[in-house]
Amino acid sequence: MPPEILVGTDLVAVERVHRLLSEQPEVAGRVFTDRELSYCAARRSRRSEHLAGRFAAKEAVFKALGGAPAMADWTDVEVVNQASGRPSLRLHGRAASVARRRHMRHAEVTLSHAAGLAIAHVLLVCDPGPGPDTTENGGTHVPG
Amino acid sequence: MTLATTDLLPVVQDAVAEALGIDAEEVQPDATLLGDLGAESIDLLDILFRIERVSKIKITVNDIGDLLQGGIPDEEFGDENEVVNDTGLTHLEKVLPQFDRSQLTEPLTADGVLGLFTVQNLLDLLADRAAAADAA
Repeated sequence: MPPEILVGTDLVAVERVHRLLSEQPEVAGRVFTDRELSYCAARRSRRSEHLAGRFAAKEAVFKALGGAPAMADWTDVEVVNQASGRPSLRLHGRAASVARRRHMRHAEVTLSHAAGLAIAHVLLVCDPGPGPDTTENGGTHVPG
Repeated sequence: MTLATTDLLPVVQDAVAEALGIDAEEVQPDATLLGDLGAESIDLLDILFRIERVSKIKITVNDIGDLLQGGIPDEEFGDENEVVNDTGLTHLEKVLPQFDRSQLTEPLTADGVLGLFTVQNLLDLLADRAAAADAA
């Protein structure tokens, strides 16, 4: 049987993310992992754009998996940059559980930002058979 | 002191109005947050944090999810295409007083469940959480 392809896209206004985090800084730790925050903080002039892109990526994954964010923690979806700079996805907790249930074996994510907007597009490849093994740290790493 | 939903209504109205940039009068109890009021996920985050700051009652998006799914495993709540099944619908009718499956015009999917959540549902959740904190 051919694999099932799931897609998700999200577009978010960078200013909306910036306003949220400026007015309520404690939200950052609830939405982004330490690794994501460190990565974005290192890109000072475009910190908000990078955060917005990661927010959009999390939303895009939830959409692709067919569940609302209410069904998982925001930090269950993590964007990790490879040495090349290319982003990849790491799923934890409830998101990883849903991904396993959908027999996801590969994921691609692409981010972009321009004109005050950040966009993320996610493509998940799901086998009709058993899903991938989880890593020892409990996350499901899907190389980009 | 246990807060009644009437005490919390202005808190919620202000939080929603500020997050969404609308008038507080538009935030009526029977309005759905996502559908009627146009909130997106980022707005829901914002709303809940504003409520927490003012009322000291912490509700996360995950808490709303737990209410809506009631601890029912995903595979028992919906099918593999994430369409909510009889078990899921029965639970939703139990926790959302306004929900009646007979009024659905199409199958309800998992990502549509959050769209059922109203301002009143949020008020009830907040009041329950406040009562639980008082009892502890």
